[in-house]
Amino acid sequence: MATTLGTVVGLVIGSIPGLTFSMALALMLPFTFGMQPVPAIAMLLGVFVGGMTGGSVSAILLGIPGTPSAAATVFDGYPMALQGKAGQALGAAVMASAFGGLFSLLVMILLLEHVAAVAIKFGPAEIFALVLFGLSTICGLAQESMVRGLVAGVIGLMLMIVGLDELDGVARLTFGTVQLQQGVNLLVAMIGLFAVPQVISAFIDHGRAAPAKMPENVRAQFPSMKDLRDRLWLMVRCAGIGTGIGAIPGTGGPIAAFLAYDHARRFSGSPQNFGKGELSGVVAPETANNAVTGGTMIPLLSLGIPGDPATAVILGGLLIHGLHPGPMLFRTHLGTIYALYIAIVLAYVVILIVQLWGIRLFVRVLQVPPHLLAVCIIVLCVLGSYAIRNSVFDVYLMGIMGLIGYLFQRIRIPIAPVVLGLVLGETLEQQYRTALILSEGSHSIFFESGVALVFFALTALTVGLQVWSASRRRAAVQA
Amino acid sequence: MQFDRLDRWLGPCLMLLAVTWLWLAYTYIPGARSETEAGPRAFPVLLGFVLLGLGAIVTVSAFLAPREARAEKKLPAVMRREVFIVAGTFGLLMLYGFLLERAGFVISTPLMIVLTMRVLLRGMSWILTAALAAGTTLCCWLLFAVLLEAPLPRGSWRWLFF
Amino acid sequence: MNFLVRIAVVAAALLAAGTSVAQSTASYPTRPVRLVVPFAPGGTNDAIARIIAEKLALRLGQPVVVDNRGGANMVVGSEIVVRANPDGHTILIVGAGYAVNPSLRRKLPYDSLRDFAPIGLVASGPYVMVVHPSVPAKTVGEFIAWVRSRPGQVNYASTGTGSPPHLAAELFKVAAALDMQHIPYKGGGAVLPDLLGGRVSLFFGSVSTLKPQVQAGKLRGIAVTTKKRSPAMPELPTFIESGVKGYEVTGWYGLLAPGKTPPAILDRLNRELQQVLNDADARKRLARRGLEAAPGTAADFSALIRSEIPKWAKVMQAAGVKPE
Repeated sequence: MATTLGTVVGLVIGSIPGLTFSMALALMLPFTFGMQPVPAIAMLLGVFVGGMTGGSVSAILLGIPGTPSAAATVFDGYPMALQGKAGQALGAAVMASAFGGLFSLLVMILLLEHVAAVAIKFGPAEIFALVLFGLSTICGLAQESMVRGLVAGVIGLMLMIVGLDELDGVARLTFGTVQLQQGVNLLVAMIGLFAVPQVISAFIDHGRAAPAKMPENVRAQFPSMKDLRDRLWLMVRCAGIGTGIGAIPGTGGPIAAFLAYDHARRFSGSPQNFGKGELSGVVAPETANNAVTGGTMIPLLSLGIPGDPATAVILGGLLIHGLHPGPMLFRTHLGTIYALYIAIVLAYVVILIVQLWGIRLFVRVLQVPPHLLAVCIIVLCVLGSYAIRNSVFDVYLMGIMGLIGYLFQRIRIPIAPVVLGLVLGETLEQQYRTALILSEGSHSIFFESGVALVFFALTALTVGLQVWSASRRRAAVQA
Repeated sequence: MQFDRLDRWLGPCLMLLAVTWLWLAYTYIPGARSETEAGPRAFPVLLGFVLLGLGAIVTVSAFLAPREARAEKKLPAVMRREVFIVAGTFGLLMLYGFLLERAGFVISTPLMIVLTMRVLLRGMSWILTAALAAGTTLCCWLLFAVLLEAPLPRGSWRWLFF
Repeated sequence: MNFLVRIAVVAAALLAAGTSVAQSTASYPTRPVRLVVPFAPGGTNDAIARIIAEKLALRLGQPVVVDNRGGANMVVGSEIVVRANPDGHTILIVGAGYAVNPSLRRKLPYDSLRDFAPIGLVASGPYVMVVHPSVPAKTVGEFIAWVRSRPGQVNYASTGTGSPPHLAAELFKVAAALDMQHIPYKGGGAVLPDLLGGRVSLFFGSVSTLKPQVQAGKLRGIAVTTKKRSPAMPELPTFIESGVKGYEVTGWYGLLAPGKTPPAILDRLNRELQQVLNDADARKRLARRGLEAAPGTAADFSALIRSEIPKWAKVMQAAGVKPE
């Protein structure tokens, strides 16, 4: 019962841009004070899992990610919705989410100790290498021109610089204002970059002589079993990516989703279809970001390390109920742990029921004329960006990001790499600097670690391949 | 406007942005405390130089692009209406934020919707406008304030009196 | 346009009436009390705030709404409270870092002593000194000797420059004349992987984070930073017991109100807070986080803040951290 309630709340909150599941978890926490430990934690887990899944709903229908983890889902999910395939995209997203989540749960149950032992080996140098590899996916996200993609990526990284540097406590480019010390919130930037350009386009299209393009077929059409069966192997790989990345503290859902998206594109027979409404482009990131939920539970339960803010709240919930995570937990409260495993499975059952039923309702959103929908989206975006930190400053920031987003669209600078830069920037810089402080300024720390070297090699390979294929394409055009 | 002509502007603009950024970084961000750490300035400076380099590449390739390639890619022309809507949407967003802080959610939301419908999207009927304004406000209020207990801006009227 | 103006005037009149009622202190509180948490949800500060809010609401007869305004090391949330109506409907919960901010920043948007009226201390607890098990020291004395044999080679983690764990370690460096390298991380969650992986040797952290690790043998507890032993980890000696003279650091959490809040309201809040802190359930929940409820008068809390500010200013200076 508690799980059901938690899951539904998570789904709702996850699907609203600006309300994150870490916030939802904090809101739910006081309700669990009076409950028994198992239902209390089950409810929190439900919110976590539901929130991760819910993010895909607004990503697909509105083109605005409900949570940062759903950003990669927008790239193909939203085009699918415009083509009238929203039902398919949403259905696939739910199935993929459930698959990813349950896969990671299975990994967690079977390999907890082993994965935890490997995850702890990831120091700053290794995480830096991993994130750099993530950044190399810019090449895949830059559609027309590599240089423009890189420009966008660098600008995303620059935006992340503004604010208080958490390591040295130094304010960077805040011009003496306290508001800017909070930095550019990832979600605020994403709402602005994704939503505002769309709203503007909807307004402009409204005035045109031609009637706004309406998706003709908005029936809730579900993906066929064959669609999913064809992608089973892809889903397994992406679930692996998600679980692995989730298990490494300091990474998280957005990185996993981007890596999975790029992975799917790279190993697909038709990479040119990505970004235009390819089902694999929805399945891959959704599998991965839900697999992260199980992944992050590994260091949380076995070592007591929260990998991200959401798991930090869950850790708080565990502590309040006298459950101290760590190796002891498995000796003292084994029954509770099994109950929690069951709760997660239950949460996914609830998700499947609610979402598959809800899709019929969701797709009706697309029947609303775009300009009217745009008016509602504006209100939702403003309230969402306000609610993230209860700050009107964030509303202004969202507006500015929106203006930048629209400008970029006009001068053909892709948005996706900006988002990637925003997502990865902070981790990239902090891990690099921490690694250097640890090694007392010697860069050899990056080359002494085998794991880091593997990721550096992968990065070089990715960039190299991309440059090679781009120059070959150019040669073909000129010939 | 043609694609490469755009790049002739974009390239120098990016380089200008990069130089401004570098100047800001060197002026306002303190460097590393010791030789053995990267310090808070290292990354911003690195990014500045990368952007400078990318700007240079865009500029150079825009001027060197082969003639045939130029005609291929065209950008849609900028219309006056577009400028109006972009500026209007942005202005309304700012106004909404400003009002939220002062007048609170319940007053500023319908006001904002009415303004959007009447000014940006001309020719919307008053009935539709009123229905949408009331409906959206009510739905958002139910969603945020009642269901999620997230604090919505109540507004403060102190600025009027003090 | 005309009718909009009319609406605005009516609304303004209503709200003005509302505020004038709120001015009278007898009926306090007249509406929900906002408890500003200057951190994102999820941390210790947030958890304490939610425990207090629940209990305080029962006593005040009005809801106490937790409002997270994280950012800039508590400055963002603090500034909001400074600017709020000083009528007791907006209060703030701060941690030990509040007394560090004046020496960490040259420009604060408020005066840490004048612009806030203390309501009372809520809870306090020790920081625990832990080392990675590969460190061959089991007591403070052994650790000091070990560090002295390798000056500058031992590193310690903190949750950011100017954070309480950083200062606890810096004070230790000063008190024992040690040479160690500081590695700042972003928050307690980021420290653990490197600490457990042995990439950093020493950390001063909260009981709730470190107790399970110490019990599981993943980390070795050396001492607690408070004057007395902690009931949560009674096996650990204090620094003073271990021979480091005058070394004492307490993590504390307390409630503040805007500076001009009427004394009658402050008294009422302090009275209710004392009741909350004597509540068995609240004490139990705080204890689970390794914290002890700390009842006391507003004057006690004020004295604590006044003694902490110069203490940390001195440590920061010794550590060579310059204010921004």
